[in-house]
Amino acid sequence: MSTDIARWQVLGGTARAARKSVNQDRHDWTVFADGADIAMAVADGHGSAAYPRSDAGAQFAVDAFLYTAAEFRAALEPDVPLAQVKVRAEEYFPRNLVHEWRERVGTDLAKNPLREAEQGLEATPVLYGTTLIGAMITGTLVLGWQIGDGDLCLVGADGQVSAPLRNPAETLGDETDSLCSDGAQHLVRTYWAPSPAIDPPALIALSTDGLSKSFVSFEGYQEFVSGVYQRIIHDSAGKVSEDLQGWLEQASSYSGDDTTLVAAWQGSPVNPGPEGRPR
Amino acid sequence: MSEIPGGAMAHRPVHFFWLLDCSGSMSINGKISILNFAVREAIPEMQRVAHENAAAQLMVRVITFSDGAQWHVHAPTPIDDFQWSDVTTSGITDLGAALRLVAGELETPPMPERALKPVLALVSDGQPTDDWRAGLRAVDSTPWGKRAVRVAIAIGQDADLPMLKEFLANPELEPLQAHNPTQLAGAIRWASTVAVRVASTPRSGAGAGPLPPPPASQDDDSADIW
Repeated sequence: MSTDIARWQVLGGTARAARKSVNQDRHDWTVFADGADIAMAVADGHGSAAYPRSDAGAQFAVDAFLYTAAEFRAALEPDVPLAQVKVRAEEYFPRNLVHEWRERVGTDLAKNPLREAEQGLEATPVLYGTTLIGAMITGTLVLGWQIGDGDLCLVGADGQVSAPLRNPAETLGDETDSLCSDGAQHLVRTYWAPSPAIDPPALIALSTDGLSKSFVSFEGYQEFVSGVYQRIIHDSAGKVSEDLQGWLEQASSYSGDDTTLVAAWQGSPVNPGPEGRPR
Repeated sequence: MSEIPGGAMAHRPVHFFWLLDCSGSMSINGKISILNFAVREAIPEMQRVAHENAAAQLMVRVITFSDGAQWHVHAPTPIDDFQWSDVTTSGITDLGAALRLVAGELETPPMPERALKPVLALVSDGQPTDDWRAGLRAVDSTPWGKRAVRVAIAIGQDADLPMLKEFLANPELEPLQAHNPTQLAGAIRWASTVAVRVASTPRSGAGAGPLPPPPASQDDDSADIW
């Protein structure tokens, strides 16, 4: 494993399904410590009549994730045992994430009572139902959290693509777990990969299900992720960014769904911080 | 824009299964003739709904049941290529056999993971004569069967409404009841279009989306003959 500290670069985009008036996908990311650490998230609001505020719910999900990730990172003191960090990642993080999302939903509900078009529905978090996938990479950890469908893919240094949180049986037919589900914190799947036991990926990609479901096979989608990385390396990130919107619109025309991708890859290394390496 | 990397792309399939009662009682008072007419007439409507959502590829299959169950149309057939050949009647009402037959198609594979919810449309005029609950359990035990959009059409007074309601597996849904040709045609049209529209729209979340209300012709004043 390289002793250099990776500098992460990020790109992202989204495309609204042609038949929909509102894109219910949201995405965002935070770059920490001059690119040495990142957090990124995508969310897919459910979009049907039972979830009329799912676009806001998706935004709250992304915001809640980035907030929770920043808090998690801030607590990563060097003397905290790895086993304790793992407990925080697998148990506390999902609980805090769901709490933060519900806080935002509650605030919005208080400010915006049920509208006429929402009569017949209850003023509960269900109105805001959404999935979420988030990832964080620090100098010592690669972490992922997912509730519901969508995909987290890793491209290894050898070019191999893996999807460690994939569980297709849970999301057939677009049925999916949700942040609005009862006991949502227990539905969050976690990916935990500390270094140096596991090398950081060359690229990590998060996407809503509208992207992978546009491909005939999941392997075809993994080829897409690999191809994005190859083009970043061999063409340029700028060229990929230019093309991304068209690719997502093309994918959306096949899946019929909103389609969103965020990808982060290792760029040039950064200098280690005064403590030897950034957190 | 450069060519998108990755494997082949395709629209997401919606598999529609007609489960049609072709027992001897369906020959009484022209029920089977009206059913043949109604399904044939519904094809252009299904094509229209499919074209409304080009991202979904509607594929149709047909099972008939009487003495046992058999495929009337086995190959998943794109709706634009689907042509109706009349079904005929004989024998008893082995619904359980039909449900077991369709259950075999609701596993992954043969269903692709990326498919949209399938539609199971059951039409019957009588009481099942075999272990239909075992068949229903077979459907419910498949990953796609329990997620399917289900519609049920009861023809005539002798239809087994409790059974059809159990098939629907949703306390908010009731079987459509058809007591005359107008009602049967309306019910077939509704099942062919509304259920397809619901199934072919990607929408995530828990549970199937609600089905819009059944056709107004359910309340028409044509004389009941079944």
